[in-house]
Amino acid sequence: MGEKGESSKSAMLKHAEEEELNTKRLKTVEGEESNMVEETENIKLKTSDEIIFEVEPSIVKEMVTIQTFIEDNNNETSIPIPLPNVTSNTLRRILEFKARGFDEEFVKTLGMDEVFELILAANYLNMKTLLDILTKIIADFIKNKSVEFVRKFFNIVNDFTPEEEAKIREENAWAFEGFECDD
Amino acid sequence: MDSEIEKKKNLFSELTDDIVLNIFYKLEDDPRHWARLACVCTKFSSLVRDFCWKTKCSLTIPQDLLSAAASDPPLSLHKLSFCCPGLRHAGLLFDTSDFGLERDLGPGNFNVITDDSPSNTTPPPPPPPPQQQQQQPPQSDDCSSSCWSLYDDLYYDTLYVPTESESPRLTESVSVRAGVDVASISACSKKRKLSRAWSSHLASGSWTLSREQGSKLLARKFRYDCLYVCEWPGCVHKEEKRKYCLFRGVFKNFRRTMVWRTIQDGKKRKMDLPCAFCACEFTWDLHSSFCLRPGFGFHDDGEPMVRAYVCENGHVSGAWTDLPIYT
Repeated sequence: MGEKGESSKSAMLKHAEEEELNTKRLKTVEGEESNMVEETENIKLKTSDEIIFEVEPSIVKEMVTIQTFIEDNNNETSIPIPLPNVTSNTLRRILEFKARGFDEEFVKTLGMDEVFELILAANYLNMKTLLDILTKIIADFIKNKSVEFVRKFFNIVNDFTPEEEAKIREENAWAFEGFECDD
Repeated sequence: MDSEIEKKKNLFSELTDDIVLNIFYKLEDDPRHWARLACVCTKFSSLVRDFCWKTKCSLTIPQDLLSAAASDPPLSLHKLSFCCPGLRHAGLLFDTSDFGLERDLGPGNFNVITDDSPSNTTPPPPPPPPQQQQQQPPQSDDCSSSCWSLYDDLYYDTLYVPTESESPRLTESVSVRAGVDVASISACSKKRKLSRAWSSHLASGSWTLSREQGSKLLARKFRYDCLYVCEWPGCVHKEEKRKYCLFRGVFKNFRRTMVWRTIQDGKKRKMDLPCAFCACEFTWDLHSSFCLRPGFGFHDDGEPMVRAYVCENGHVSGAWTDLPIYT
């Protein structure tokens, strides 16, 4: 009887532990599905220049690419996750930006080259909120600029033939009516 | 320095189409942004045409027209949505049919038809005035002339209803295509600024097209033709003499319409008035081709109440004036 009681009790305890573990595993974070990510363990990210960052899971949750990687690798988080397309400077900026609550004013203090790098990183990491903010900043910057300025900004070579350019300018002349660029 | 330039070149080349489109879609509130970006390079032009305009058109152009456009030669549908043809392409300066006739024949000698009874037919257009006043810029003595002409109105300061794209007036030279010799503009008129309303610009008012508006324009004989026109009142321009509601539209499957057949069979004269929406160098006057509803008569000064011009691709540009039937 005693043995049976002890056995039942331990079975119950084991069952309870399993339940708790499953609950943790199946815990859904607000706004995103994040199965199998344990709240307590930081995620290690290794940038292209071999620098390892330990990042809180709550931040990693916004990086859909990383989330997918973790899930595809059976939630293995002890090994640093490689980010071959992201430098340490860029990742540091992203974390800093996140810490400031995606304050747009912070981005405006950065050079455009750095903003471009952030955009590429945000696109690679699939961070939608960050990407939307950054592309909006670029859009607002170029919207009242001349064609020539936009070319210079993006470092684009004009690949229209003179005839093609004349034609497209004429087709879109209505859009230049009254246009005063603020280059 | 070279490495910085190289780095920047690499950064742009790494910008995927998705990223570029993400930036472009942040500018969709004003169609002019996309139109200007299309002039930057071939890549931007393709992205704007194949994605931005397509998405926007699906919201402003009726599905009926979109599916017809897929099979017909490509139409400038996006331009029809947002682009007002301006006074020039609406034919306000290009009017040899009847305007100024009263001045030539004298008051009381010109019968203005205002009855909108369907049994009345529009009279044939009167011959052009002997002096080509509409084709030549005003001479210096016209500045002090008491005889007002629409031509004077457009070449001197004019007022127009503020649009969302209101901007300072531009000083611009008149295109030779409009049949005006720039060199013969008098010193008096050179000092004046031309109205912005003269050339194509972002349309005020609604950007959607409807068949209902088109059906109000055409004569009963053409009731089975599908003409889509922008919503009333179009892009409103208040000129000195009267208000002009500039509209734009397009026929669905124009080559299969009764209007097209009427123009072709009747060998209607082409007007030297280029289309605002495509490369057509000429248009036909729907008014003098008897394609418009009878009852669209003339004002006391001989100016038609409605103008409408169609190109061979079915693009329509025109202008309403104050119509008693619309009160």
